[in-house]
Amino acid sequence: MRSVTAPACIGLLLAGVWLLPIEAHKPITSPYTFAEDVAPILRERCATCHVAGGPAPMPLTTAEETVPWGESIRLELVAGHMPPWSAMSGGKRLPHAEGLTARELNVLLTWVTGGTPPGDAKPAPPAPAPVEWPLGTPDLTLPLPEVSVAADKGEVTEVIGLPLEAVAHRPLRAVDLRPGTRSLVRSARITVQSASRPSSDTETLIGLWLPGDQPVALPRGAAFAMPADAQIVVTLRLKKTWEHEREAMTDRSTLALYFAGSGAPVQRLAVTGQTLSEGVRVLSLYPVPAATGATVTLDATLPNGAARRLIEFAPRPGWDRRYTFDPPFELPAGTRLQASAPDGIVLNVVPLPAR
Amino acid sequence: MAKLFALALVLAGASLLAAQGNARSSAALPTALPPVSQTCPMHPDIVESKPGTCPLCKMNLVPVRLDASWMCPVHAVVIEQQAGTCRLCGRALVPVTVSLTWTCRGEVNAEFLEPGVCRDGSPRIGKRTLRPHGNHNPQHGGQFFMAPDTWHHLEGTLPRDRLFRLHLYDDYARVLPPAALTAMNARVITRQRFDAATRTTIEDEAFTLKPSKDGRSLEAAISRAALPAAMTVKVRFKPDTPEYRFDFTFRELTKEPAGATLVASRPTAKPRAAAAAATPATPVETAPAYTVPTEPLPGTMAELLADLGKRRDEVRALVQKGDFGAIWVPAFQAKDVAVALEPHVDHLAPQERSHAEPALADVVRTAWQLDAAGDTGNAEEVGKAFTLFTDAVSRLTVAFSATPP
Repeated sequence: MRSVTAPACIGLLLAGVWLLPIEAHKPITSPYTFAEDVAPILRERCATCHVAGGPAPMPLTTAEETVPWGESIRLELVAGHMPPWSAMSGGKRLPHAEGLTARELNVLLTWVTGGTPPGDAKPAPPAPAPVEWPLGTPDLTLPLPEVSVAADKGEVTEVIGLPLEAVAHRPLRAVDLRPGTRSLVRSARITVQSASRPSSDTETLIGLWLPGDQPVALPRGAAFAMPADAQIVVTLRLKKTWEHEREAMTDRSTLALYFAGSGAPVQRLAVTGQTLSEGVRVLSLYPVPAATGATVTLDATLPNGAARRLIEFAPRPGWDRRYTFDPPFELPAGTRLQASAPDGIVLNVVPLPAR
Repeated sequence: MAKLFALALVLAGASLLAAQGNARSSAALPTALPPVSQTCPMHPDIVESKPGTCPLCKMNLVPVRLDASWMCPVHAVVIEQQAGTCRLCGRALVPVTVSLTWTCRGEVNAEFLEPGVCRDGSPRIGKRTLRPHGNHNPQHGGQFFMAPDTWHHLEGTLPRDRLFRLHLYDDYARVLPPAALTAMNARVITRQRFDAATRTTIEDEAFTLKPSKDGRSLEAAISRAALPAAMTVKVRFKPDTPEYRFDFTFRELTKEPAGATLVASRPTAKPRAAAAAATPATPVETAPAYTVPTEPLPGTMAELLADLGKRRDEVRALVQKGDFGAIWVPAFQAKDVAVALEPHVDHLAPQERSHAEPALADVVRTAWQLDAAGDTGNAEEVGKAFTLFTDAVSRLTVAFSATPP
């Protein structure tokens, strides 16, 4: 957007094409202004991606940048597509929830439909610089091989297996990714797989990276095991925005590993409808990719008959996400779990000691 | 419905007349500027050729240059001089009415009605600004809806027993010319049922809508309908456009408002002249405009919850009555209550809070969905939005009720 409208506007004017609509005569009914009310919300909630050079093609840091996208913003907010946080409710606390609050949603919708008043024009503070490694200095960084997206391609998915010796085979508490080209990297799925038996049944998801997401480390006392025949596999999805649709682009991202001192190995527990034979501590969950597109619920019926919903969310294609519970919670042996997704939900759990 | 607050929901105001013959064939910048018209800052449907005051609110009119352009129905940033497809998403551009102004780089509030030179010596930058809708008032005592193409507007009436009449307007609520009506394919369905086996709606009784004698509306002689009478209009405005559905409910025969002044037909002259010269008449009935409530909302959590339930019931009653055009009023009041409830989540236990926070946002979101669905008069869309809205209100109520205030 910026590269089309702002620098080129005078040239386009001379060419007879006017591109920059600003609502000059739209009735102002919004009591909220960009400067006072909207900018802080966008800065806090959206600027991680909607910033110049970010993964979203339209920066939303100034009134000039934001006003032309008013109708698109309205559509995305009303449909619940943005921000791309899909958990609707849950009995358990989810840290790093990215949904807008009622007030934030109301301010933005009122502003975009109420004449987008700019308020007192003042220089916008610079967007916060992205923190390189939110979890701190990694124990090990692994540069990924360069991946290219040709000029005539819009999207590339690359599966990268990291050499066994490179991953050091030490148990992990977290992984993170630093995109080389922020505007290109759309997601990364990071798994531990058995080198000798590459199957989804044996893989453990240890990271789902999305633009703007905060990485989450395992709680103390838990670790992702890295057995001798394991390797880390990164499925990197690169997608150009419309700004770069006819450009050849490359990315060279970096994977960060955070080692765990010690801890019980995290296990993968695929759930459709079943009764737990042993007690578990639930750390996080994620739907299998086929579950995207429908509302997914996970309900638990405890041995004493008490029923409760653990989470309800609507996964969206292209926005695979792992939901981490803070704090983790325990489910005793005999608990009946029921997932609404036909292909189930995968829980990352740690078995409880037998009592 | 003159709800100022929701006017701008209709950003993609298309211009069928332009599509039918008034669209410019050249992309070149016009050598002659469109004439300066006068419009009301609060009622953009009021367009006069001379300075004066708004007949609705008495505010001084302000100058504006109106012209026709083509815009992406989704990406409002894409406004082009000619018909074509959106360069972002490939959708067909829709004709829109815009105002022309000029500005200078770095001067957000600089607005000029003429091109020229900025203080720094650079040429002023031309801007095309979409004109929002302003007048959604029924003009014949019927029910008024906006089509999903956001340009057509229509009003169904039941002026007497066994007669259904459909009035059609453009985005400025001006009556469409007879030629536009002739090109339409429309019917009114008075009896229909849903066949669960095939998941289709079977129309047991439908009547083709044909131009009236004066050519100003479509009408059909229908069978006797017991009041309240529910009927559905399905209309295809042009052969290559989608068929849209509008659901009407008449609790009584509609009455032509006393002293009604018909809006002048849109001139068929050049679009610039048409946009500037057309002078929509004062609407006969004006619904109360939405404003941020001046009355303080209840203060306690229990009072707010009670108020929310009351608004939900008001929305339900309007949905059941088929009075879709009025849904936005209690829906917006409900979302204001939700915003007021938000600070109270601090009093909730973590479990309830995790339910309440998304439910609060969902009340706000679904209130806006109800507003948009109500505007277009599609019972199915209204029903979907209402289901989500009531679900959010219920979740909210349960979450807050679990913890004593």
